[in-house]
Amino acid sequence: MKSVGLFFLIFLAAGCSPLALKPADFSWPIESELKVNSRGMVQEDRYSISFNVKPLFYEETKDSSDVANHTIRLIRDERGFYFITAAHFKNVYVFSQNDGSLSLEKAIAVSKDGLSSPAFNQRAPYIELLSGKDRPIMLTKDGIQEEAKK
Amino acid sequence: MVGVIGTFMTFSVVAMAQEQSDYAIVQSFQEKYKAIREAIKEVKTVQECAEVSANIDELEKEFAADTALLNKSLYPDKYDDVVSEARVELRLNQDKLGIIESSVARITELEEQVRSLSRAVDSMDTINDRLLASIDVMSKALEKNATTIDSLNHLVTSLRQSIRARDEAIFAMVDSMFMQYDKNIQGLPDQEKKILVGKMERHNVVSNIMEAAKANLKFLETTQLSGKDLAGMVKEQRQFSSYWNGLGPKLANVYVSSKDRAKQIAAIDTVIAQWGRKTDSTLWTDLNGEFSSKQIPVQPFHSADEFVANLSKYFDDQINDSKSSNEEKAKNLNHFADDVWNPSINSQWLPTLVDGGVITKDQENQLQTKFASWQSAVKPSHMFLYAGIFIIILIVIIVIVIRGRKKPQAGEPNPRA
Repeated sequence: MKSVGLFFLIFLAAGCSPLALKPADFSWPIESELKVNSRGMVQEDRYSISFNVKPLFYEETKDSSDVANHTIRLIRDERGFYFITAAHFKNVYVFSQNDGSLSLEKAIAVSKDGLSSPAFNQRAPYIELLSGKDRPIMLTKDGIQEEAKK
Repeated sequence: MVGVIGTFMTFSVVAMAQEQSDYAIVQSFQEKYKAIREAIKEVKTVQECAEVSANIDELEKEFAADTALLNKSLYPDKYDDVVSEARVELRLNQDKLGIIESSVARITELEEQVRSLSRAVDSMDTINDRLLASIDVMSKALEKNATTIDSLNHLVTSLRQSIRARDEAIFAMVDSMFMQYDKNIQGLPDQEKKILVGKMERHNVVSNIMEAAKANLKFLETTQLSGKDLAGMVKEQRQFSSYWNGLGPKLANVYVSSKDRAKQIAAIDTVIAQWGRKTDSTLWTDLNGEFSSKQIPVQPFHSADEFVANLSKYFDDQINDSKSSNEEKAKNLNHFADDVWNPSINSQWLPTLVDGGVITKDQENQLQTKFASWQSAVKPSHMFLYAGIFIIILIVIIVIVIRGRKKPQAGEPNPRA
């Protein structure tokens, strides 16, 4: 009798949880290098995504008055988080997709002096950050993965 | 030779562990691919088709390790498809121009050889510079013990092999370039001559030959070669010079409109001549030293003819010596034979000088015959000795045979019983 009750509980819980399509892989094979236009927007043609980066530049430099023609680097990891950075940034910004926006999940501090020539590589489950001759850094949405540095 | 070059190529491969951006790899592929597609549209001659074909091969080799990345990144295209497309387009253009595929394949092979040799030459440059610097440091070292001398000798041998391999690679590279043009270079149309000049410039042919001649000269000045090594260097100088004599006029013809290059080509002549003079003078000094160090009064010589003449004269003087006693004559001969002729001149110098083209085989024979005459004049000929021994052995055999045939007489005990 007790086991029948437990079975019903599980059945009800499964019936109430939202539908999830698993597994899913959102990873982009390579990063995109995107130029900011005069309105502060970037456009990624292959994945049909565009967004405003003025708030991002303001967050990083406290100045978003002159962002046109700057270049940002964007990549998406397998879990679907967007990683963004740019030359001279001290942080990598991790965003998740939201209702008509990208929401900041975490700003990961990666360089005291700013990245000289950043580039992302897809190294699932990590995102690899390169910058000139600096040692590559492995990232997830939660931050730098020390153990992956080997 | 390919083996030697291969060894040096392996030597020079430095594992660059630095991480590369995938984006940069894809960009680099796309740029190179785009350039190839544009070049395909421009091809007019069989050499141009071969060059583009070699570029496609090189592109495939360069990005072989990134196939998976490129397959994902070139969306909606696939890496293999885009490479095939380029090949098909090139083939269609060849057909339109009436160029036969087998000619393109043959020239492509030569072109690939040129590129691989050019890379070998570049990598050997670095190796040679490093070896030369190490030799320089070790030669100047104040303390020289057995270990440093061994290391120095090892470095000198390595450098010499590397310089020779580099020389061979350069000339093989130039050969492969000229072989792509069946016609006489003089008869080449201006357009083709321009392409050939472009290719020579890309692979630094003239500067590489100049560097090769200078490296040999510097090697000779830095190291103290002697004996066989020195004679070997003479041979290399002769070969280099002879190859250059064939190549120089061809290059002058190709670069007829470039004054700077014409000057450089003339300068190569000067350096090769300087190298030749230096090897010759070092060689004769060393060879004169073989006699003077053993107090053998051969007149000093400064050329191959002088060497043969003066040594022959020394033999003649010894043969016609009427003043010395027989004992003195035998002593002189033994001193010459044991200290100079057998261990050095006849066993090492003469074969190497002949091999290096410094003296002729006839001149070698002339010296050996003279020496034999000197020996005959001082000691009884070995022929008489051998004949005497032969006759004695013959007599002994005859006696044994006669005794063996003699039957035992009655009453005598039978030895077999």
